[in-house]
Amino acid sequence: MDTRGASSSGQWGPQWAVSVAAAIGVVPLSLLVGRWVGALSSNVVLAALPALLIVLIVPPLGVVGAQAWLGRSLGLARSSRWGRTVGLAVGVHLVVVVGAVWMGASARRVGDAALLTLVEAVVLATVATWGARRWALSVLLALLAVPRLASAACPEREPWPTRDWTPGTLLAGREQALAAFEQYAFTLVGKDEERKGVRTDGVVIIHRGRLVYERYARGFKAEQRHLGWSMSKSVTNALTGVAVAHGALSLDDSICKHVKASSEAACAITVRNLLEFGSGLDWKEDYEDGGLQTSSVLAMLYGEGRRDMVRFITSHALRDKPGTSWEYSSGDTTLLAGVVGAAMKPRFGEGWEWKLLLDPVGTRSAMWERDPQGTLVGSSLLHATPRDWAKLGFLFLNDGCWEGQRLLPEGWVASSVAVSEPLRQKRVDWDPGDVQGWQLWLNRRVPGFQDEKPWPDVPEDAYAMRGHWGQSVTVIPSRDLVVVRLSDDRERAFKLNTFLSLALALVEDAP
Amino acid sequence: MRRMLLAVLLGGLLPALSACERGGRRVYDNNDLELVTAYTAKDACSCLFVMEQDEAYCRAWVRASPAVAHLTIDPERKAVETSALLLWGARAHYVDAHNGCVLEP
Repeated sequence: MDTRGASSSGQWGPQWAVSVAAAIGVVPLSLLVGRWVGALSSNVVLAALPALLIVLIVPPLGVVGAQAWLGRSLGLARSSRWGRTVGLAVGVHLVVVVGAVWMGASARRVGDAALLTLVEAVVLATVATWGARRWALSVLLALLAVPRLASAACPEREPWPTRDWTPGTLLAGREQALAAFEQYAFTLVGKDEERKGVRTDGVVIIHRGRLVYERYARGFKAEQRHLGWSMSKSVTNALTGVAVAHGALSLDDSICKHVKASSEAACAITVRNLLEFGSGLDWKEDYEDGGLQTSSVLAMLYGEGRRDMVRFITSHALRDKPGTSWEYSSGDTTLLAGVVGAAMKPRFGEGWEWKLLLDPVGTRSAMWERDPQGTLVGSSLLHATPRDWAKLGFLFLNDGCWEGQRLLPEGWVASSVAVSEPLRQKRVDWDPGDVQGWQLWLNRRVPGFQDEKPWPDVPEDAYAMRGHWGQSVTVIPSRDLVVVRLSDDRERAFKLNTFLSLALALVEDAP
Repeated sequence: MRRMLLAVLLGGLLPALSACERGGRRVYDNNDLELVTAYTAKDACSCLFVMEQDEAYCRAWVRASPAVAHLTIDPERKAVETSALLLWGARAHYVDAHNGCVLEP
């Protein structure tokens, strides 16, 4: 079979030249003949079919035929790959012709015909010359597959809420369910200054991409931003995804590649460790009801850490080797925001968070506060209107895509809602029901320490952003549902499971 | 003489060391009044100029116990200053429509 080797590996120069010449001759010819045939009949089908057939078949056959003739006349052995080459040539030619039609080309215009001939001379000649080679088919298939993979990954849906949500309606006959839901969410107890019970400020429900329910209370209005507290963490996850998508950082980068840490030891921490709450830093996540001087969070936001949060966070000792233990930590998230910001700001400038994430998804109300060094307080301080919080949930629901554009890398959301690896290994200050992925709360059972779903009456694929004083944005992909609740619960009276199960009763088909 | 020095060193160092560790935890260098005034200034600023709630709502929203922080609002400069027991205080101001409020160093 070395004769075939000779025909397919050597001589490609003359083969290509002959193909180019053949294309330059045959493409205009096919256009001329095609036009003539196309005008022969008044019956459009009878005229169009043969004309199009000529235009589609003649050029590839002509070019490949010219090569076959050359091969014979040069005395080279015939390749056994002609059939495949013809197939390839016809396929590529079809793509070129469809492209030309799509761009509005006309064979009546000499310029268009010349351009088409030129393109075909290069493309068709190249395919015909290389088509006989073994790797040509796989290269071509790979090239065809790339755009398909990239675009198929984004779910198609309408309408998108970039400007505002499209209104929808709750299912008919749900008056009782609605009464039960509202009674739970909106019944106030005691005097306002006692800060007792369930204190909901606003609820927004997005079902099948439409706003099916919203209500505000306690003097709160739709246009007002509400502090999300730790819901900000999940949006810091999204910012990290944006930075990875732009190639500004990778998950296994040491934090010291991007920021200056207070201690050498902290350089063992990677971006992934921070996403997983697995930095191993000796942190104490207490709020106002714990010891004020031992709360790392209060010190970071209001105390000695507030002037330079990255320096403060990295000044903590490593309690465990990074990646081997899990602890819910606002320090991990704000350090992550510092790292991501340091990687992105030099490339995309001040305000990149809005340019690349918050504005594209239409959260125009978003305000996100920083420390005096400019580090975004990624753990806590994003404010947005309830409808805009819903858009951030909607971004996760749609796999990190927005209006067909991929904002978060492919697979990012799937990784974000998988159980954090360090959580399986060792849990520090862990409460039952606390199952997390990358900066998101999950409704997953985890063998060994979490036998029940954290929210038993809610589908297992649910996940949520959650914040202090009762904030939540819950996403339930299997129900195409986003439920937002903003609130000011100062005691632990509110139960997310109860709230979500009552909300599900408003939108689920068969009760 | 040497014994006295040792006693002074131990007497001074031991309480200092134990202050650094409370229940094996790092103790941060801020007292309650510093934390409360900073919290009240920052969160009142955000409440007024980011969440755009009215003054009564915001005063209630940031009320901490004990309610020692005195709140002064400067609507023109979009700033909030707090003080407690004369010696402690903090100031926060509104930056812009992206960045909200910042606690001044």
